[in-house]
Amino acid sequence: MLSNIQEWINDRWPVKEVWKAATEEEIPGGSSYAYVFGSATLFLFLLQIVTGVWQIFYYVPTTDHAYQSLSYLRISVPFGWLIHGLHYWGATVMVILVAVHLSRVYIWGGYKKPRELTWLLGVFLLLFTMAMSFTGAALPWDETGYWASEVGTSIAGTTPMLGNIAESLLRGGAKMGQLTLSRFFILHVAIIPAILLAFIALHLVAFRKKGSVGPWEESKRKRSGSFWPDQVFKDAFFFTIILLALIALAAFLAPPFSGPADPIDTTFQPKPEWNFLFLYQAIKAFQGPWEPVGTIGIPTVLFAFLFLLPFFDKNPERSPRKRPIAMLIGLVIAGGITTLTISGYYSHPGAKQNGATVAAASSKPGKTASVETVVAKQPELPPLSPAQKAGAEKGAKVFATMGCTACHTVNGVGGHVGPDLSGEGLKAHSIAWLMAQIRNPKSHDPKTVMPPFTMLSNVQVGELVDYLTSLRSKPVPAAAPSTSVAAKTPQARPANVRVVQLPSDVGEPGLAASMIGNVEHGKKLFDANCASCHGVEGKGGVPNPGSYLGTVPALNPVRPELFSKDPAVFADNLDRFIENGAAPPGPSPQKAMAPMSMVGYGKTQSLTQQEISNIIAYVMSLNGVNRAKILHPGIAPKTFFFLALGIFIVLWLILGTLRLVSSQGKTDTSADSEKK
Amino acid sequence: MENSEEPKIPEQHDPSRRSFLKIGTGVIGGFATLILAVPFLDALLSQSLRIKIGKFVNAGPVSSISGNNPQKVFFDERDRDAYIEEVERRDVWALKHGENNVTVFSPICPHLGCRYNWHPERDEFICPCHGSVFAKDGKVLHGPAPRSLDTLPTKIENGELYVKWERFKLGVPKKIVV
Ligand code: FES
Repeated sequence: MLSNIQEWINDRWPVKEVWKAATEEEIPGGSSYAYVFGSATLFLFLLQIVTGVWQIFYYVPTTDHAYQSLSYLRISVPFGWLIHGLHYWGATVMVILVAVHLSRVYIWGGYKKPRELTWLLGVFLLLFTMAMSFTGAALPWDETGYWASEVGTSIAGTTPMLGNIAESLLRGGAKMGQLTLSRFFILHVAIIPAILLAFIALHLVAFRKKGSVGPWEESKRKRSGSFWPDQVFKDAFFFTIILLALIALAAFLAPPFSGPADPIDTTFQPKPEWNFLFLYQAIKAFQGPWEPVGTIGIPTVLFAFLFLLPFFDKNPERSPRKRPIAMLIGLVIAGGITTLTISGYYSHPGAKQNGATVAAASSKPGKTASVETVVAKQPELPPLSPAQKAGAEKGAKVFATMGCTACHTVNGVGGHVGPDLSGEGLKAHSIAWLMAQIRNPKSHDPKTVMPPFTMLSNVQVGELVDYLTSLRSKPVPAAAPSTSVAAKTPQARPANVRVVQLPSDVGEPGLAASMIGNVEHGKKLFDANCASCHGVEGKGGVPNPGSYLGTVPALNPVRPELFSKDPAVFADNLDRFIENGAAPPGPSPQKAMAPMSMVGYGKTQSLTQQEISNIIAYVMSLNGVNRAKILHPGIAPKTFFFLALGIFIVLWLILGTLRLVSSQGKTDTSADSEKK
Repeated sequence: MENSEEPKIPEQHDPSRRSFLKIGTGVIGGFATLILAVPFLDALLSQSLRIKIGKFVNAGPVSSISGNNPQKVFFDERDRDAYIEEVERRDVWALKHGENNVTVFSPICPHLGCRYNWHPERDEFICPCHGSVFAKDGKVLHGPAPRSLDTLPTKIENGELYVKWERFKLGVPKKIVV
C-alpha cells in the first residue's frame, strides 16, 4: 500500500531522485566532526525562521508599538522568553558558525578549483547573514537597536556616489522613523531571508556537484564514508549541543532590555551589534577625510579578498603546512578582527572623558570665591521697582510651591542642601545668570545636584528672579539647630486628612507605565532629576517643612500603598506620580509656607516617556522588583533548561549503548556494512 | 487535447524565425519588467529623497538663555513621520552673544548622528559615540567628525527666538540639507 503511494507520487514528482541527489555522497576520508559547521549553520537558519515567524505572531513593526509588543511577547506570553531568547542568541551563534565554517574551508583549501563557485556563494551567504544581523537589531526599536541603526545607516550614507540613495532607501526619509522600521522589517523578514534561501540552495547544489573536499593527506583519503547517514548523524549530534547551548543562554542570560528608543537622548552610548564592533573600532582609527577608509574601505577590502581568493590562489596544494602565506594572511585577518572586536567591546569613549573631566573640574575651586569679590565691589544696589515688587510677591509663591524650600533656606526656613538664599539679592547675579541657574544649573556648575527646572514657564522664572533679587537680608547663620528641627517636625494635622496622597489621587499614568525601562539608564536619570528631593538612591530624608509628613517621601523603600509585587501595578502606581506630579497635603499655603510639591514630569514634558520608563525601572529595582520579570514563563527558564538537558542526556545514553551493543553484535559483519 | 495522439504537423523550423521569437520574448519580458520596475523603485525612492522644508518655530524668549555657556533649548513642533502626525520635541543648543544674536546648533553630531553633550568643565561639546570634540563655537577640535557643528537658521523677533529645524547630511565635510 505504502509503496504503491510512493510509486504513484514518484511517477509525478521525482522524490527519489531529489532524495538521492541530496543525500548520496561519498566523503573522501570519511565523515568527521570537522565538517559539522556548515550543516549546523543550516539547521540554525531553519530554527531562526521558526522562532522569527513565531515572534511575528506578537510583534508589531510600528515605532509606537514595536518595543511594547516585543516586551509583551517576552514577559507575558508563555515561552515567549524562549522564542525570543533562541532567536536573539541564535543570531549571534549563527554568525559565529558561519565564521568557523568559513575558516574551516579556508584552512582545508576548500575554495580551490573546482569549488570556487561554492566558495563565492558562501561569501555571499556571509554578507547576507551580516545584513540579517544589522536589520534585525533595529526591530525591537529599543535604545541599542535605534542608535546602532542611526549610526549604521549614516555610515551607509557616507559611501561615495551611491551613499545618499542607499541611506534614504534604507531609512525611507531623512530621519529614522516609521518608514525606517517598516523597511528594516520587510528586509529582515522577507527579502533577505528569501535571498538567503535561494543562495543556500545554490551553495548546496554547487557543493553536491563537486562533493566534499576531504582531508589533504593522500593517505587519509583512501578510506571513505557516506554523507547519509554517517555525516548527518554527527551533524545532528553537534546540533543538539548547539540547541542546548542556546536554551542555556536564553534561560541564564536573557537579552537585556535597553529601554525604548529615545531619539533626543544624549546619555546613551550607542554601540553596534558585537559582530560589527570591529568596524566600530576601525572607524576611530581613521579620522577626518580618511574616515571612509575605515567605514567603507575595510569591509570592501575584506570582501574583495574573500571574493577574489580562489582566483589568485590557484596553487592546487591544500595542506596548510605548505601554504604559509595563506595561513599567515588568514591568521592576521582573524586576529585583527578578534582584537578589534574585544577592544570595541570594552571601549567607552564618552565615559572615559567624563571621568577625567569631573576630576579636573573638582580641583578648580575658583568659582564661588570670584562671586564673593563681585559682591564686595558692588556696594550700592538699585532699589526695586513697583513692578519688580509685584513680581517678587508672586515669585515667593512659586518658590514655596515648586520645591525650592526643600534645599534652600530663606530667612531661616528651608533645607540646607543648597546655599542659603536670604541674601541672594546682594550678590548682584545678573538676571540672565539667575535664569540660567534655574533652567540649567549645570551650565554654571557641572557637579551641582540641583535639578533643572525646565517645567517652569518663562513668566514663573521671571517672577522667581524678581523674588530672588528682592532677598537682601543677611543670611541667618546656618548653625541654627532649633529652626531645622522645627522644620523637620511634622505639622499638626486634622484627623480626617491623610498624610500622603494615594496613587489614585494624583491622576492617570502615562505611556511610560507600560514600557519596560532600563535600570542603569534610569539610575543616571534619577541622579540628575530626582535625587535632590528624594535623596540619593531614593533613601529620602530631605525635609519638606510645609507638609504633614515633614519630609519628601522616600522611594527606597517606597510607601506600602505604592508597592506591589506585580511589576505592572507597581509601575502604574509610580508613573501616576511621575506623570502628574503630586502636592503633599499640608496646612493651608497661607500659613508659614506651603509644602513643596512635585511637578508632573510627564505632563509638563520635562522628561520624555522613555526616560520616565527608565526611572520607573530603577526605582522598582531599588525596591527589589524586576520591571522585566517574566510573568508567564510557561515553564520557568532554568527548569526548562535542565529538563532539556536531562532529555538529551538520556537520548545520548540510549543511542550510545545501542551503538555499542550493535557494534559488538556485528563485529564480524561490520567490515561488510562499512563498505556499503 | 483529444487529438494529441494524431500525427503532429511540425512547426516551421526556420532559424531566422526562431531567433526572432527568442529576441522578441526577451524584449517583451524586458519591457514588462521595466514598465513595472520604474514605478516600483520610484515608490521606494522618491518618497525618501524628498526634502522637507522646515518653518520657523518659536523657541522661547532670548532672555531665558544664559550668556555664558551653550544651553539646551527645547521647543515643540508639529511634525509628520510619514503618516503619523505628532508633536515632536526638538532639542537644540543655543549660544547667546547678545540680545539680538544667538547661535543655534543642531543637536545631532555631524559625524554619524548621535547626540553630543556640553561639558562645561572643559568648555567643549563631546559626542559619546566616537568621541568627537567641538569648541564652544561649534568648531570641531578632534575626533572623527568631518565638520563643525551645524548651525540652524534663526531669527529674533520681539525678543523671541525662532528656530528652523533642519537636518544635514552626516559624515561629509560639506553641510548639505537633507
Ligand atoms: S556620531 Fe558623534 S562622534 Fe560619531
